[in-house]
Amino acid sequence: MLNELGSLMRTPAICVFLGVCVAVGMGTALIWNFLFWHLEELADGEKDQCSGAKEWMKTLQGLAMGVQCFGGELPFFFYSGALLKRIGHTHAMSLVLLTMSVRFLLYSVLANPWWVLPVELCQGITYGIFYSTMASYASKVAPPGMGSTVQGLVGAVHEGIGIAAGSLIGGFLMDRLGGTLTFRWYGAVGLVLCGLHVLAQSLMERFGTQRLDGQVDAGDGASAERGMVMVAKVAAERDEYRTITPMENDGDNTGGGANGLAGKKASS
Amino acid sequence: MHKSLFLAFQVLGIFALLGINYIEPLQHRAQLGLYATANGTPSAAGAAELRFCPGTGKLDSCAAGEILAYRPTPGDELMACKLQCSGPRATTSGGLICNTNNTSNDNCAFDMRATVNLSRLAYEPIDGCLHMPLHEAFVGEAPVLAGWLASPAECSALCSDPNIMFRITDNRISDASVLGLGQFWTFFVCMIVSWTAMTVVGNLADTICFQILGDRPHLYGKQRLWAAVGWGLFSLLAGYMVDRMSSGQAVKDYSGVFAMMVVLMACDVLFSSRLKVCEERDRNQVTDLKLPFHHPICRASRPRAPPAC
Repeated sequence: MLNELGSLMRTPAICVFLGVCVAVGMGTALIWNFLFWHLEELADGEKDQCSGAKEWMKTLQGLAMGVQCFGGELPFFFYSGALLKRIGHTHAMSLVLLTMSVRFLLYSVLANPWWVLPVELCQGITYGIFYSTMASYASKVAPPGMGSTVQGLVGAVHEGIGIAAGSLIGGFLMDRLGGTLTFRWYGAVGLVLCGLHVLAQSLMERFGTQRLDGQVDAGDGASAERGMVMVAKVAAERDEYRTITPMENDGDNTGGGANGLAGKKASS
Repeated sequence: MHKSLFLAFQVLGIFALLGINYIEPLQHRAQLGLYATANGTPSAAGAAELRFCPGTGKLDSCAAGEILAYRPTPGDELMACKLQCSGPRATTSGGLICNTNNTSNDNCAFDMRATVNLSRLAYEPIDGCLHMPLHEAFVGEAPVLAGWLASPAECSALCSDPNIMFRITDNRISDASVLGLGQFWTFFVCMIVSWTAMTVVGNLADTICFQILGDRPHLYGKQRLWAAVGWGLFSLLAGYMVDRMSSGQAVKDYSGVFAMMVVLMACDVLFSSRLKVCEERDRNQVTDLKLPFHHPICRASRPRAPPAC
């Protein structure tokens, strides 16, 4: 079992995938912990708005979360299955990295905090699509009987390394540089990582290494189903980030779903 | 077993979250000047005022405007201050008592209690200072006498109104000194406990949900959807509520959302306690841990429409 896991970890495609999970985790941490902080800094710095500049701050933050939830996550979780089928996991991950970088760069050019609201629509891709991709890819590449182990591994890498390191580095940068420059740096590094990701994928394709999508794309109804239920489970574990799962496969293929869930449950 | 743990951690979460509401705010001292003034105060005592003049340049006209626009709740216009002052010894000629009788020291340090009428605050654009006339002043138990203050003194003040204090104090603290604060560690413990509780509750909720769903785990998304809807709706509501309750104040008042949290979580506990969860497990589970949901055997007691997870 450990051997299988070891050989999985030595696959270049898997290493790249785990790297992306860490990178997106670091970005997510910045959003969770320091976006509202950045908004408050912006409101404090607004010179033309003298009295009561922060009267509406919590309303704005509530609205931002509302947009993230209803405008971003809900629709994108709903259609993530279809989107993944269409563009594949590799391109989905590149899209996530690109969107997250653009999102950070937009934060760094914000002058009026209220403009954060349209930017929050990016949440659908940077969180909804990312989570679906992460969970369903993990369930695809897992060797038979190791679904839960791989899910756990991916989740641990994303949260344990990505979120933790991202919060720590983000806090350090916020202290030294302030919000605008922190988001600009994260955005710039994100763009570089996105480029590297595309490059690595095309290199792996050219030299015949297994692509991120692997060989699983053909006829994987059961596997896709399993992936979607995994998404549900993994998303559920993000306690404070309530999300939903696609529901298009009601009623059919329950066996696959049950198996996937069972695997996850056994590990947790 | 699942259900009792579920309820227990919900209750633990309520207390840990509510604890955050009761953490004492940090007290920052304001550095103020104490000056004699020509116009008298309502009390018969010597006329004096406290002045807040920011260290760098004049008081920002925006900040001054906000301070002057601030209206305390009626009956609360008197702000009580505890002051630790020091000034040239000559200032004590009016009968002030120095903390020490050390005559070789040119400075006289004295502790003072004073009240400031917040409706009489004034901003002077020429010197860029906020002027706060004293309503009453005591050194020890004795009210100060006329002509007591011959020359200005410097005071470090701790005053009762958080909104005024927020604007006239430097409320930054260094990272290093944070670790020595009781408030930090209380908050730390509350956060750890509440997050742990909420994680346990979240996972148990999923487990219970799947137990209730039995052989229909694909319906999980439809249950989970309502968590997303609740998250989004109550984020909106809570944000608006905080702003409404802190209208006109520099410091946000979060007590309303803590109350909302207690009410909602109490409902959660109540509804959860009425869930019918079947604790019987599949016999396969002992031998094959990977299939706890494969053969649900509690179908008989399963509700038709599963309650919220």
